[in-house]
Amino acid sequence: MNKVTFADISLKGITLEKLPRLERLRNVHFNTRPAVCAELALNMTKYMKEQDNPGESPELRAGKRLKYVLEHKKAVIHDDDLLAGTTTTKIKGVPIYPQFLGQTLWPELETLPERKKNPYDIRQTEIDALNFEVFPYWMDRTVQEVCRKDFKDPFCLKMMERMFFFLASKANTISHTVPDYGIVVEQGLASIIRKAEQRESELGSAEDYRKRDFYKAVRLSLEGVLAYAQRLREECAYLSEQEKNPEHQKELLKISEICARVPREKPNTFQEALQAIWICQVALNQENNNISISLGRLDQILYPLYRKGIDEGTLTPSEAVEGVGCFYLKLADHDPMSPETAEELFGGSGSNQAITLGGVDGSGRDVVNDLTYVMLKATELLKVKDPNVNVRYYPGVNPKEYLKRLCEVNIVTKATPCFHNDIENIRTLTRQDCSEGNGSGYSIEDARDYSIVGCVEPVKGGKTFGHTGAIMLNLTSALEMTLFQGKHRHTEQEQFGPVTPAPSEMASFDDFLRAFERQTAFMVEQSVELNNLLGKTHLKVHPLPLLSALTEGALQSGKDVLEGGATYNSSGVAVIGLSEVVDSLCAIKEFGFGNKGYTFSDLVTAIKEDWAGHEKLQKKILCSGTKFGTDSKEAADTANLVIDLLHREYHKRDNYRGGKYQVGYWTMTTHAGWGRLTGALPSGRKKGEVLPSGITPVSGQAPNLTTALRFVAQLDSCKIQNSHALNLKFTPTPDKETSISNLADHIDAYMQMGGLQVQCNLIDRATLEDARANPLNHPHLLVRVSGYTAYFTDLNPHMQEEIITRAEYAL
Amino acid sequence: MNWLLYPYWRIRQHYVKKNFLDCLKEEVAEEFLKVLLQFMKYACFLDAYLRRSIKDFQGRIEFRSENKGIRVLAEFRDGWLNPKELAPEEEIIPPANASVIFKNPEAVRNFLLPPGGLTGRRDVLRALLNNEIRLEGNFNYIYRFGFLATHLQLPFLKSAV
Repeated sequence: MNKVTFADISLKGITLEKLPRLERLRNVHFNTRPAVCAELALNMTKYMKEQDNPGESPELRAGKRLKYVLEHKKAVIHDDDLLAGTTTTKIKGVPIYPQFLGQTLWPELETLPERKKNPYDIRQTEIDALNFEVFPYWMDRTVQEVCRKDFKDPFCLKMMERMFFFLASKANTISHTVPDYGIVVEQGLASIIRKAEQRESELGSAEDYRKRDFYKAVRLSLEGVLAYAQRLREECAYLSEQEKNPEHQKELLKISEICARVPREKPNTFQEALQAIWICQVALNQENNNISISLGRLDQILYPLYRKGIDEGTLTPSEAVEGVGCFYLKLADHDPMSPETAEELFGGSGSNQAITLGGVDGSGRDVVNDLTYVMLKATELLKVKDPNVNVRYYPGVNPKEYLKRLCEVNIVTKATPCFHNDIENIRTLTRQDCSEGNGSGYSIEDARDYSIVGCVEPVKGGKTFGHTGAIMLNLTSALEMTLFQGKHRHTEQEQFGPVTPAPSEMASFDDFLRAFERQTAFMVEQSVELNNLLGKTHLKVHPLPLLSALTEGALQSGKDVLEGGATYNSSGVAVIGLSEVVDSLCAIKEFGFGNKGYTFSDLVTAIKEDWAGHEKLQKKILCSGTKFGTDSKEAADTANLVIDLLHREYHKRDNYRGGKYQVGYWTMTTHAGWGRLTGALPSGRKKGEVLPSGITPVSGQAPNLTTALRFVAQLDSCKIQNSHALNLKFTPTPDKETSISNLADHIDAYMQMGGLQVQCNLIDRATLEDARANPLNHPHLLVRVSGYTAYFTDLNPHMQEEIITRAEYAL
Repeated sequence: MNWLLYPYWRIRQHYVKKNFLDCLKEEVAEEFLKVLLQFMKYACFLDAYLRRSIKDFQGRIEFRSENKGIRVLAEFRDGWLNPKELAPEEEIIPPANASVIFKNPEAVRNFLLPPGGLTGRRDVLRALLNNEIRLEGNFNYIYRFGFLATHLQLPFLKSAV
């Protein structure tokens, strides 16, 4: 039974000064530059060269490969840490996945430490290993290149490789999911191995051999995890023997004993549970790219053992904060690999491992508990970009003081956690009010138990394989192709989309809208085709037995999650540029076809010339009240029309696992990169300006906060199943209590109006500008980008500019 | 490798390097690619690290301008780099593993010689984003070529630091 016993939910008595270990580990984290780690890539390549048998099924090969990788993974425990195991051999490592896009780093291997933005350290031995051993082997074996070969260089792949229509992330990662850590804590991995063995033994002789191989692969991968845990046990035991400090010696012995038990058996204590989950997370990051493998509702999963420890007197809240803090810093021990110029699109992103706190249980009851506040305290003390902390709030069910505490943490950290409205998310996931069928297929109990993946995407953790970041679609490209008959100004005369009528042939706004629908449908079709081809290739090249073992439904069906083994299957789409496109459509209607003294051709000429010589028209458009985020009904109808169009087009196409595509509106940092490539638009926007983030109104076009919130809240969230990122920037008042109270009121009102999600930067423009000018003075300034948190100084200049110029509201 | 020919290769490289540096000053984009590949050919022979890097590399990368006015094949085979100038319509048999297609001669130069000259950083993605180049075929061959080119550039980069 969840309960709150703290008299002071802010836990003011717990500070970093009183938790010196946490402070030391935090300092090490912030003072360490990321370093490339070739261990995983080398182990995989060694296995493939020496032991892989191409005659075996992909599943069995994957199981054997992962077992080898985990058995040969170096056991590392860093000084002073309470948790054993590391994602890489480094303090802060950048793992290389050669089967995905590891080779993109090849050209800059020897210059990584000198690059201007986010440099990586790398040892010469690792440069040599990657250059001579690893990358050459994988040149023709990556997911992207196998897909190109098997499907004869499909047009959809070529289209993605032009970089500005859409990105299908499966070439790099299929992570973006929440494994079932509940089963790790409640049962342990030995029970899953037994289940896999039993399922395998029940198969008749006529059964598909791949099913048998799947169960073998699951077992092998789990045995690999257990072998890694044993290596950790041995390492800790060895270190304890060497240790002179009796207190440290005792700690190391205890950790060694813990690793001897978990994750094989179910953990008996809070610390054992953290260790069990951490070992599994490390293992999953060896199988899957280290992007967005999220952890689910940890305050619920871990609560029984937390409560037990408190009740038995073996754990104090302060020790729990320290344990959770160590766990957070472990989650931050790796960064995703990013080649220098990918920083343009995704610069500064962490691994985006989401943790979900608060909300309600399967029967709709408030489940905010002491551990929720313990985890919030760790969030407040550490202010690290990973994990990405997300909180659920059910207006009227969760207590108001809980919301206020969430706001307080936001104000202290300046950027985290991110808020999700339980009422709307649960309604959206069950789609009770939607005129079309049940898209997610979630039962009400499962919908109530949702957790967040990656940036903002809600799924039923442990049961869903949603790959919620499968596609990123640049909607301004559909608008562009509508304006230029299927061509894009950036690629000039190349014909990409269908040939739709020229502006001079369009007699009405409806004509334009029909052409826009055709171009959008074309882009949807291409992005879906590519995602499905990459999905099939992924299954051939790199099945996921460990993730399958930790996803409900896969063992029951005998199928890998990539083959549709999970209970719920879906793919997620993130659309970029919604508010800019809505404003453009409104401008085309009002000024192109609205008898305002201009023709549609005038408007097209003006944007071709980047508004030079057409400043009067541009000013009129910018001053028009028909804008996303205002009280314009026209704009609201247009926004819902575009949302409906994207939902319909994606929803009518199945993914390669028989699941549905779910559309959301979040952008990571692509809005900065894609903005740079986008020409002037009818909205009045000039060439190269940053696009708005997530579902946020265009900067400066929605000056009234309440109106902007109402606008976003009234959008049809049933068609925003992959959620959205509404970014708000507030200037806190000097009086903290007033700021907390005002922020809580805004968020509560927004949620009561039907808002799905909101995230805030609580920082004034002057500080951001100073951080841009003097980055050394603000090395760890945390900001919300579009779904995730990052350090401001790690971001590329376009992204920094976007955050600085975001509309700023007073609290 | 016949080490008796080493002095001859050294002298050849010296002249090719001079030619290459002259080419940089003259800004003759059409010649630049050919001269660069010639320079790289000798470097791959004389630089032990580059020699090891291409030891088992069997691959063909085509560089061409959109109008095929410039067209060069870099063929890596049996530990050698063999640059070959191609006629605009000449068929490549077997087909190249990857092609780097430049919008115009200036783009060739911008791509292979980044801002800052030999002390600047090459930027494949930026060139792609700016639509100065497009890539066809297996990108990994181009990344591998990128490593060789950067290694060749290292002394210049280090002198800049």
